[in-house]
Amino acid sequence: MGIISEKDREQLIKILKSIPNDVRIVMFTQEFECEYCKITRELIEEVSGLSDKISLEVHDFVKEADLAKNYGVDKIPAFALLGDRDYGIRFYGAPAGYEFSTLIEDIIDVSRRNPNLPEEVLSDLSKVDQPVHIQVMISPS
Amino acid sequence: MANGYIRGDMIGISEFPYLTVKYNVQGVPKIIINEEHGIVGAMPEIEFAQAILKAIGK
Repeated sequence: MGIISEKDREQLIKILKSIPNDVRIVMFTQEFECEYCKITRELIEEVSGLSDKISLEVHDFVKEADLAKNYGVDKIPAFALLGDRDYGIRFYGAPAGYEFSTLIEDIIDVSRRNPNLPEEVLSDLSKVDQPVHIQVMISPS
Repeated sequence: MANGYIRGDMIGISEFPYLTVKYNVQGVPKIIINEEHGIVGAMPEIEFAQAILKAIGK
């Protein structure tokens, strides 16, 4: 019995059937997993099973500290969504409830290599010429 | 995704309660830009883009 219900699973497979390009999920947990680490890993293992285009790598935050640092990961559970390059998208914690839709939408955008934003928004964002770190604090409900 | 300078973290507050204290999170979503500019609540994409520009002084 997975975290994703059979009904949701079937629907997600349909939604993700048409994604055009590969998406790589790089996750950091640790050998003795915290409860949330385990839930997050199990959830994204199931997500990566929804499409052949989605692959998953699980790394050890402690033993592979340098790799975690390269990804800018400073806490766990964490995972990055990568396309043909690193778009700077990170999830910390298990994206459950409402946030699960955000994850699926992000996977679709990364697969399309397109942020799916209106022209005027892209135009504003093109003016950004220095590092911007956005942190969105969320809860599942 | 729209600009290589921009990175975004989605952070679950249940998993990282210490960050809710650090960033004084009293409601979600709460957005923090470059550690200092806090925004509470969701907003239209264009307003958010403008908030980003404001945060970097543009």
